Amino acid sequence: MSKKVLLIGWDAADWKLIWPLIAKGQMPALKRLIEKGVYGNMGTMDPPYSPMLWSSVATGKTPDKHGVHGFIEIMPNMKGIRPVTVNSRKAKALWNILHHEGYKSNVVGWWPSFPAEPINGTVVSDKFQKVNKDPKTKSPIVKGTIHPEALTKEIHDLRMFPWEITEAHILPFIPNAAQIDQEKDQGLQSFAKIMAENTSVHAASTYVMREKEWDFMAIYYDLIDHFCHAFMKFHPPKQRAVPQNLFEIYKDAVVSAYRYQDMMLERTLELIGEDTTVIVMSDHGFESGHKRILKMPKYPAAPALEHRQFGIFVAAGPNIKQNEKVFGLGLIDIAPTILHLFGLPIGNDMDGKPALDIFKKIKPPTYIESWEDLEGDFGQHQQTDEEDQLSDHETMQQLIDLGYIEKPDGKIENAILKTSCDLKHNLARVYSGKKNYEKAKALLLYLIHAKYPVYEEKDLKKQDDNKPNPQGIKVGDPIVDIIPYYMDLLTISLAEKDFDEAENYLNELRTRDKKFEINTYFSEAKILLGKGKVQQALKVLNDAKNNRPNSEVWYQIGKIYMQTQKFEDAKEAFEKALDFEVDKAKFHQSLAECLLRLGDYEDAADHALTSIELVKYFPEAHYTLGEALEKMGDLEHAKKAYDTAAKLKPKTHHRAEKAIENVEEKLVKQSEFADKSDYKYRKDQIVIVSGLPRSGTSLMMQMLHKGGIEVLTDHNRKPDESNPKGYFEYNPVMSIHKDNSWLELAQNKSVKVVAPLLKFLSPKYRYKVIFMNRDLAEIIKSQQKMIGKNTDILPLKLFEAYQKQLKQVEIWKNKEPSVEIIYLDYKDVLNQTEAVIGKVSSFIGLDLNASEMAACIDRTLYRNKV
Amino acid sequence: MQIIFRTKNIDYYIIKQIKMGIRPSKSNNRKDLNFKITEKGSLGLLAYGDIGLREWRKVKKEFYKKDSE
Repeated sequence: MSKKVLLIGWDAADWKLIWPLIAKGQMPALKRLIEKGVYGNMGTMDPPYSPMLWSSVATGKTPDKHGVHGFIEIMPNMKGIRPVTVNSRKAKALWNILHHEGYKSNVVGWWPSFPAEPINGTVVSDKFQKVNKDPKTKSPIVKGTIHPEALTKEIHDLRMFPWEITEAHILPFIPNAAQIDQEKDQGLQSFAKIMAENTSVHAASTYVMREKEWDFMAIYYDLIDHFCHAFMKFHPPKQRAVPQNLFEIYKDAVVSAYRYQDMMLERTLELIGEDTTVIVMSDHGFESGHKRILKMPKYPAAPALEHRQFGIFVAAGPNIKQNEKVFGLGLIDIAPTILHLFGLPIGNDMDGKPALDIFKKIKPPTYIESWEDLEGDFGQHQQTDEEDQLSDHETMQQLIDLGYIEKPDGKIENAILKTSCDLKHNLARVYSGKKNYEKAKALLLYLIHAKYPVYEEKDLKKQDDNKPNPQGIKVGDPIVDIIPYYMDLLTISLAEKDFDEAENYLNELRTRDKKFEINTYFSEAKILLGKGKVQQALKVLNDAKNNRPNSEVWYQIGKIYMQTQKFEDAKEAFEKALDFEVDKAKFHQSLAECLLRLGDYEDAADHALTSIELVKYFPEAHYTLGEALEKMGDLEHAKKAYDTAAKLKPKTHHRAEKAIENVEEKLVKQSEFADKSDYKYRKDQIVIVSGLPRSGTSLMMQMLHKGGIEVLTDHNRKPDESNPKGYFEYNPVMSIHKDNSWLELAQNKSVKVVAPLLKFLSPKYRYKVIFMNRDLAEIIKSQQKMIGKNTDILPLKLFEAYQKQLKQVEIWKNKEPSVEIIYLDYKDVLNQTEAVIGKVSSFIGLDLNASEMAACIDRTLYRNKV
Repeated sequence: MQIIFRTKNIDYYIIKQIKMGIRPSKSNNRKDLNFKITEKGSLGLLAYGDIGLREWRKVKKEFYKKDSE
């Protein structure tokens, strides 16, 4: 395998912008790399903040493990805050591990990499390119910027300064730059700063590539990200709120940044040999369509809302496949993949996996428990530098300008407190992303209940420089805004399906957010839906859709239609969602599931596949594909799809496991079961007796009981005139929609579950469902009598509702792999008892006491014939 | 910082810059820069990395030296 690896980071690069440029021949270097190698999406993580993400790239670990939790950090002496440094990183980066293993690395511009670590090789840290924008002020290269320090002499002149930018650099990006009123519009200043910084990074990187030996080289550019934050609002198509003159001036800026990035790539690739494996990747994408935000919400790091879920990944090299698309990569997979390229073991404590799919010849990866515990020299700092030299006004200012951080509070103790809260909040979001809700909630609740100082008049005077206060802060407001914490708690409650708690948080948010600036309609709809108020939920979403249609609102509407089994409506809604956003995996998966229910299996398979192309680690998409293939009769591939779904799920995918068993049985027997029942006993099966109320379910329960099957009942409902032999009910069944954990007790027993509640059965167990059918008119008549109503009047609405419920059972049993079902007619139970008992006994797969079962029949109780 | 424009309405694009500036080359030799570098520089020179930046600065220095003489 190749032992030379070049990793190039393009912050925020997005295929949506790149593909059209490649088609026009305007990114030739990247195009050649793609043709030579593999390409695909790179999945980002939450929160999508670059220093956290690039540290995950370098370590293969999520931020809770690597320790970089934001853009800024509190200084070790607790006396101030500063842009995040390498001191926040607690896990070893690739270059530390390579150092230990005797390899040489060059690292240029990585975020964060200051102070430069003393590795075998060179580090030009992310402080190198940060210079003072005022030509009259000196910008010395401070200690720790470059390792080894002697390299400083060689490359000190490779920093470009913003004031060196000329029209020759500007005009290709902004042809009408001369029309800019520079008194009012700071666009050119931003441009000059971004260009100068990235040119410095590039110049340092080409120098060390040419002049210094290396096995691993990592270069990080923020050109595209910073251009997008500054100029994406002007990118075509023109948004209504953007003034025409500004659109004309800046409309080509973002695209030009991509082209300049490609020009730099061209040069970088000239400096490597055929033996080098190259990876070009981004940490997230950037919204370039209708989701662009013109008015940023006022909370820290809000600009990251424009970061899209998918970045880019391209790799080419001696053992890399050619011109193939790869799927499902995540940022945490990069470090394990590079370790594997060097033939080094991957830490079991790394969250990522090596991307073996990219290789022509796959060598099995090797593993060690952890690189963190190993003793020895890893080229790390021996002790934390506590000097104040690390605070960096220019860098802080840039983060403020980009909107990633607020202008630090005038009072340093307030700034420290706010930073500490931000870092904890970010960590809570990391836990939430990893579905570790307990840890996330503990942090968020801590942040909510902490006591915060309030703003005093003098604090606000210091801040405002005679300008209106942009944050709308008033005297007496706490210095920390706790609304974002409530928003995250609301999201977690919804994920945990704790709808009462979610409602509390929603109300809390509405009380606190007086101006009602936060969009809460999704949460409101989800809560309503969770509480069974389907029509109200639909109304909330329809209002939102009519107000401002977008992909997510259509998707949520589609989900409701799916739940109410209005599949045609659901299909239309998912298609609308895809019209807005075609590369959203969950939209394709939901449409696939919808098409399955409509019987359009081929299209369902198509959409499930598209979904998998977008996100490989999407168990539900693999499961849906399995369902579609099974319906199409392709059992071999269906099994593969179910296998993948079962393997991918962090928790056990019960449906996939049951589906695999079913397919395996079908492959052996080569037959379909007309009534979806294999007449064999299944270990720990649960026998469910179901039907509409008054369809003979109590009779069947009694028969099973007498036949020798233990019944799960609490005897709470006593026999009465309507059911003189008992109801055989179990109270927890009534609240199965909230808690179905009691099903464990029902294994090898029978339990009565009325038809509308069947859908809440857990896919964890195997069910033998005996569904009692009875003439609907008879059922309703019997029910009317039971509740003392006129039996001669047949309520039409009730009749229709019951018909709908029976149809829902059909759909449910078709989609649930753990369910086998037989239908018994009440009249047959009474009149053809022997045959029915034989069928039941054979269905359950046990020898039942037929005579005892038959003795349960009392035809005198058949009283509501029609 | 105020960026001063000496020329108005110049309309040329990156691709022209590449043609005017740097031709792709496999070598690391600065002799590849066998074209006329102006004091204004070009994107191509910046994209060429350390060599491009240094060569441009040399020309710029000479230009302003002559200018001031």
